Amino acid sequence: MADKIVEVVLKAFAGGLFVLGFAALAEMMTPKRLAGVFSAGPSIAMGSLLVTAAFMGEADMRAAAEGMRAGAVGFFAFCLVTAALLEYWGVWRAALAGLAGWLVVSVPVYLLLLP
Amino acid sequence: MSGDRPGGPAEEDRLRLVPRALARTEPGDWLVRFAFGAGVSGLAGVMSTAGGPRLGGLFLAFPAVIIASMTLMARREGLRQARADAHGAIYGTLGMIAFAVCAVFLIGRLPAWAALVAAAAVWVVVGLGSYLVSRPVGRRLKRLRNI
Repeated sequence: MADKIVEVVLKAFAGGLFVLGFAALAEMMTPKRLAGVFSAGPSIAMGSLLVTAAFMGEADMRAAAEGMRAGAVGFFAFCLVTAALLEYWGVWRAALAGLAGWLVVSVPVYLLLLP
Repeated sequence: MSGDRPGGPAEEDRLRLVPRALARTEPGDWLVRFAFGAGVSGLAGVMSTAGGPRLGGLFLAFPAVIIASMTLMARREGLRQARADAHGAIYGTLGMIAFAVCAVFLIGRLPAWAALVAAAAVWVVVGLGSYLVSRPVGRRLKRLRNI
């Protein structure tokens, strides 16, 4: 149990650090649309997958990447929905609608891609 | 460098790297971003522990960080820039899909670190590449609409 907690804490820390790195790149870039590319960078994935490889091995790391495919397709749907609604609904309502889009798309894709 | 070429990008649309822009970001914003990143990574870790690594992997692409980014940008620079952020992220997610597909293919075939580096390179090529391709296409479409 203790090693699971350490693993989760390390993933959280690594994810936070990688997010800061990508965010720093995004802050330095103009125009904002280019910076937005980095807002959808694999920052969390890189930190988390590295920790998974170290704690659980490559088989689990590969399985995590398999699940990520579905989440990434859902993320694409999130961005489409949010970009379309943001100026009319404001950030929070548009983001909520986008999250619904993420769920509606990523879950079926996840189930479809199950081995 | 000065003036706009016909058919070229407007001055405000030119690709630039401005390191001093980092100094304009409030320390609290960095904390928020770290917290969102750590939170989502922790969530993915918990889901992985509870439901297996594949389920945890689904949350590696949970869009929490871009929500933080959009809200910070909307507060600082307005909704239009936040919308540009979301638009740009569309290309980033294409790269993210490519990243995940590449990682699945390469993990086990290459050392873990090498597989991740290669997958990250694929993200750069697909994400940034699709954005760069979209720029002249978007300008051409805008000119056609204005005819």
